[in-house]
Amino acid sequence: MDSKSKSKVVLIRSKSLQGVGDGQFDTLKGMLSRGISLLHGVDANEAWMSLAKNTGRIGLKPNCVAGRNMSTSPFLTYALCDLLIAAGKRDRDLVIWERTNRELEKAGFGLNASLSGIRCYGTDTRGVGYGTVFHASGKVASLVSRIVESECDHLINIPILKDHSLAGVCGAMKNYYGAIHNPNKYHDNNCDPYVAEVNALPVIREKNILVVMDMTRVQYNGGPGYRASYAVAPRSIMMSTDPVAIDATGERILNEFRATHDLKSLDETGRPPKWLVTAEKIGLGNASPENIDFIEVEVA
Amino acid sequence: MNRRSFIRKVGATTGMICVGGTAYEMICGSLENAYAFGYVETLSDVEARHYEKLAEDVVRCELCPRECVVSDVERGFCGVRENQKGVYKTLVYNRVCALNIDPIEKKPLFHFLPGTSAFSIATAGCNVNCKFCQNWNISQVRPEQVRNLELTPDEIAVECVAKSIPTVAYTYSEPVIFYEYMYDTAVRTSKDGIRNVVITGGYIKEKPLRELLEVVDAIKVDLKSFSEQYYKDIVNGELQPVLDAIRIIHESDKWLEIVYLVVPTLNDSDDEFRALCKWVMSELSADVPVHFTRFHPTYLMTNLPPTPTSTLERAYEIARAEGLKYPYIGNVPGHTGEHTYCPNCGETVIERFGYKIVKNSLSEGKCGSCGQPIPGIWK
Repeated sequence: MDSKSKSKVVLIRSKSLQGVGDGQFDTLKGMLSRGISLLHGVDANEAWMSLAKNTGRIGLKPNCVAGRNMSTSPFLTYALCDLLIAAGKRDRDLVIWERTNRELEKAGFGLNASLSGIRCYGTDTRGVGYGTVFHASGKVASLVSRIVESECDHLINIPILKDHSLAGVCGAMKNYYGAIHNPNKYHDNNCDPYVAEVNALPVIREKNILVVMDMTRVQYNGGPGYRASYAVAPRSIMMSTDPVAIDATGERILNEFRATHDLKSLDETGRPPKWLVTAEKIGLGNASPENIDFIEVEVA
Repeated sequence: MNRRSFIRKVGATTGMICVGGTAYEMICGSLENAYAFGYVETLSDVEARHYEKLAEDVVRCELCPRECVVSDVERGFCGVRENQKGVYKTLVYNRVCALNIDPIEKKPLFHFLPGTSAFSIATAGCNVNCKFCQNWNISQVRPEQVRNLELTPDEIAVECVAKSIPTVAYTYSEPVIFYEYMYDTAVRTSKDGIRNVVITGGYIKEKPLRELLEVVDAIKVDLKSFSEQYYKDIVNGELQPVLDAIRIIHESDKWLEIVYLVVPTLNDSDDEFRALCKWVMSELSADVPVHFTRFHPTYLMTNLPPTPTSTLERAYEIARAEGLKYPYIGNVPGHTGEHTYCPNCGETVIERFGYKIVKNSLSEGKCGSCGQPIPGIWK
C-alpha cells in the first residue's frame, strides 16, 4: 500500500440483514459484491475474478477469540468463499484458519483439514504448527503459523470490529496477532508499535490482498471478550485493501458508538490506537482521515 | 498415582528420566512436533493466586512486577495465565513440559547438597523475554504449543522418595509463572523431607515471594545485568524489582546464589562487574556465591560470540578484589574457577569438573583443612 495515495474504505449496510447473516447468503454476497465493485471501480464479477486469478492458495483469517457471539460470522466467511469459487477459485485452495481448532469451532466454523472442499483448521492442527524461522520487524520477533508462512500464497483478513482493552481497536491489524506464536509478548504500551510491526512482517504484509471487516455486530466497549451490554448490530460490512485505513475508520466508528452511549472516546480512556500512527509512519497504509476516501452505501 | 503408573506415564517418552542427560530436549522438542504425540492435550483450569479483580471482568495480576491488566479471553505477558470471564486461571498447573533429573550443580547451586540430584521440572511460559534465552522453545511459547505431561505434586513426591532424589528444582523456564504448581508441590514434597529449590529471574512481587520463601529451601537468581537499560532492551523487564527480590531472599533464612550471564559487549564491562560486586557486598554479604557464566549464542542473539574465558576471569578477579568470598566461573568445564576455596586458608574445599564433584573435603560444613565454616546447605 502506497501511503501517499488515498485509500478507499467502503462500508455496505443492508437493512434486511439479520444477526450474523444465518441463511442469508444472497444478502451477504450482494453486500460483498457491491463492496468489491466500489473498492476497485469495476464490475463485481471482474473484481472477484481478479482476486480469484491469484495463483495458489488463499488464507482467510476470521477473528474467533470471543466465541460465537463476537467472532467473525461464518456465514459472511463462506459467502466470501462462494464468490471466490464462482469466480474460478478451487474450493480446496481456500483455507479458513485461526490459532486453534477450538476457537474456530466455538465461533461456529466446521473444521475440515482434508484435501477436498473449503478447508478450515487451526495452526494447532497436527502436522501444521509454527515455522522454525524467526520473523522479525522492529521489536517483534516471532514464529509464524505455517498456514501463513508456507501453506497460503495470499491472505484475506476477515476481522470483526470491536473494542480492545489495550489496543483500543481490535480490527484488521490486531487480527494478525493470531498468526504468531507469542502474541502475549506484544500488548505493552497499548500494543504500540507491536500491532504495526506484526503487520509489517513481509510474510503477512506481502500476502494480504483484502480486508473484509465484519460489522454485523460491533462491540464498542469491554472488548475483546464478548459483553452483550456493549454490542450493537449495524448490519454492515466494511472493505478495503488498506488495513491501516480500515482500522482508522473502525476507530472512528467505535468512538461514534461510544459517544452515542455516553462513553468517553478511546483517547479519553487512555487507550488510543497509537499503533495506527506507527503503521502509517512505516508505510503500511493511511491512518489520517484526509487520506481516506470513505464510501458508505446501503443495499437491499 | 503409584510408582508403576508414574513410570508408565513418564516412561512413555523413551528414557526421559536420565541423570544429567538432555532428555528434556527430547520432551520439549520443537514447535513443529508439538502436536505429534499423545500427551495430555488439555490445559489446566485452576484459579490463579495473587491477582485482583477489577471492573468489567478485568483482572490485574499481582504475581510479578509487570502487573498485567488482563481482559476476558486474554492472557498475561507470560502466556500461561488467562482471564476467563473475570476469573484469572493458570493454564499450567500440573502441566510439565520439561522434566529431568539433573545434578544440582547444573542449576547451578554450588553450596546446596553438592553431588546430589534434583528432580527438575518446568512448564511453558516466562514473564520476561531475554534475547539470549537458552530454553526459548519452552519459555517463549504458550502451553498449548508444547507437549505437556500431567504430573501432580503427589506424583512428584512419590517419585522423589522412590528414587531417593533429595530435591525438587523448579527451573528451565521461569517458575514464577507456574507459581501455584510450584508452591503446592513444595508444600507436598517437603512433607516427605524433600528440599525445594527455585531457579528464577527473580522478577516477582514481594507478597508472593515472601509466601514462597515459607515453603522452599533455596533460590538461585539470574541477575542478568546491573543495568536498567539492559533489562529494558535485552530482557524486557526491570532491574530494580529483581534487586529488591534478591534482598528479600537474602534477608530470609533461605539459601541464595546469584548467576550473572556475561554477554560479550553488552554487560561485560569492568564497571558493571564492579558495580554488581559492590552491591552484593553492601546490600547482601560476601558469603553469597556469585557465578559468572558463559554465554552461548542462541535464540535472538546469534550475532555475538560465546563469552571469552578471559572475560569471565576478569569478572572473577574483580569479584575477589571487591571482597566476594565465593565467586565462580560457569559453563567452562575444567576451569579452576568452578571450585570452592576456603576464604581463610585458601585450600580447595570442593573441586568440580562441570557438573561433577571431583573432591569434597567439607566436614560438617567446615573447611577440611582449617575448620573455617563455609556457608551453605550441606546436608
